Amino acid sequence: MSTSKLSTLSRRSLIALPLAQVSFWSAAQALAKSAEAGPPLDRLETMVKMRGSIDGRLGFSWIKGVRYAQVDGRLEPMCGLLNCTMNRYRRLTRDTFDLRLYEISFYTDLSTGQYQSTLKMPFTGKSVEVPLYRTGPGRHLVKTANSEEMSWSKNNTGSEAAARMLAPDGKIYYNVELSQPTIQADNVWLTTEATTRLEPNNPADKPWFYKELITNHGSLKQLLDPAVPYVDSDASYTLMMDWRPWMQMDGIDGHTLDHAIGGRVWSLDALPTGILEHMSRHHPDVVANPLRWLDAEGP
Amino acid sequence: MATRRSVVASAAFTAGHATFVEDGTPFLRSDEYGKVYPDKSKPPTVFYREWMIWQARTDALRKSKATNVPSTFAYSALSSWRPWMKMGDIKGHTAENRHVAKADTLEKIPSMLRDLIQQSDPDVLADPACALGS
Repeated sequence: MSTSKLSTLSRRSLIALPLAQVSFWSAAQALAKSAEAGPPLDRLETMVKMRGSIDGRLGFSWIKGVRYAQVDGRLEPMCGLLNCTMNRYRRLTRDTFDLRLYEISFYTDLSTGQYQSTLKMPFTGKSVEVPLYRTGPGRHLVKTANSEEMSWSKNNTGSEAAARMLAPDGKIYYNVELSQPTIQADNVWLTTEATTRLEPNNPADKPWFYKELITNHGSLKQLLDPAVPYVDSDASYTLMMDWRPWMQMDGIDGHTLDHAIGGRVWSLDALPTGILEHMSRHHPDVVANPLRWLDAEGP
Repeated sequence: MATRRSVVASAAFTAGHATFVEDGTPFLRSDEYGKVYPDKSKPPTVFYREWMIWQARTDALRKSKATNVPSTFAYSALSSWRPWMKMGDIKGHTAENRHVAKADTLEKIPSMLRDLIQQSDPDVLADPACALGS
C-alpha cells in the first residue's frame, strides 16, 4: 500500500490485509508443497496431536477469554470465559478418530474473575441467572471434514434445569472442517471450523446456531516426529453464538462473540489460573474422578 | 456511503490493554474498536472490532537490552461489510480468527504473502519504512 493510500481507516487495513489474505494463501501454500512447507503433514494427525494425543490418553483442553455481546455493530463485554474440556481421541481408521469429551464452562464476572449466579446483560440491563455449564459425555467422529446429527434434550443431559437454559430441545446439525496447514519456519497453524445449528422440536422456538473457529499452533519439528503422540500447542479461539435462553435477549438482533486463548494439559493441576479452583468449588465430583464422567454412558 | 473526507473526519478509534500471566508466560490483551459516523445522530456505517492476546517468552522480555522479542498472538475480529463487498442492506458482518506471528524481516514472512504484496504493492516491499511514513 502506498503512502498516498493511508487514511485513518487504512491504518487498520494495513494490519488486516495480510490477515485476510492468509486463508487462501494457506490453502494454496499447502497444495503447492513449497520448499517452505517441508514434508507434507497429515492434517488429521496434526490436529489431534495439537488438541489431544493420538495414543488415546486423557487430555484437558482449556480456554480463557472474554465473551462480548454484539448488537448493530456495537460490542460490549459481557463476562469472562473459563472452559475445561476433558477429551480422549482414539484412532478408528487411518482417516477417523473417535473423540469422547466432557465439557465444563464458567461465565465469570469481568472485574473479579469469579463465577456469579447473576449477570447484568449488556444492552438490556436485565439481571439474569447464569447457569453452570456442564455437558457430556459427547462423542464425535473426527475427520478432516465431517457432518453429524445429534439430539439435544433436557431429559437426557446432566441437569434438566441447566439444559433448558442453554437451548431448546431439538435436533443438532454439526459440521466440522479442518483447514490446510499454514507452515512457516518451525511453526504450523491449523484451523478447525465447526458450525452447529439446532432445529427446535417445537416450531415456536427459534433455531439456534454457533460458529467456532480454533486455530492451533505447534512445532513442525515435533509434528514430523513419528514417535511423538502429541505436541506442545496453543490456540486462538473465536466463537460466534446465538443468544442462549438464559441471556433473555429475545427479539434483539445480535449474538455473542468469544475471544480467547487456549491450550491442552495432561492434568487438572496444570490448568490455567482459576479453572481448577472453579471446578473444585462447583463440580468437585468431576475433579475427584474425571474418567467416571468421561466414560459414563452418554445421552 | 460517506465520502472519504467525512469518513476520516468522523472516525472514532479506541483501544484497551490488559496483562496477565499464565504458567510464567506473560500475555497482553489488546482490543481495538473503530467506528465511522458520517452522521453522528445515526449508528456507525462502518465498524471494526479486533481482539488480540499477545504472548512472548519471559526470558526474552527480561533481557535488559532487548528492544523487541519474538511473539505471537491470538486474533479475532468482527467488521461491517466493506463497500467493495456490495452487500447492500443485508444484515450481517464478517468475522475472522487467526493465530498470528511477528517477523523481524520481510524475508521471514511466508513467501506466498510476499509474492502477493509484490504484485499488489511493490512499493511497500521496496521501501517498508516509507510506507509507514518514516
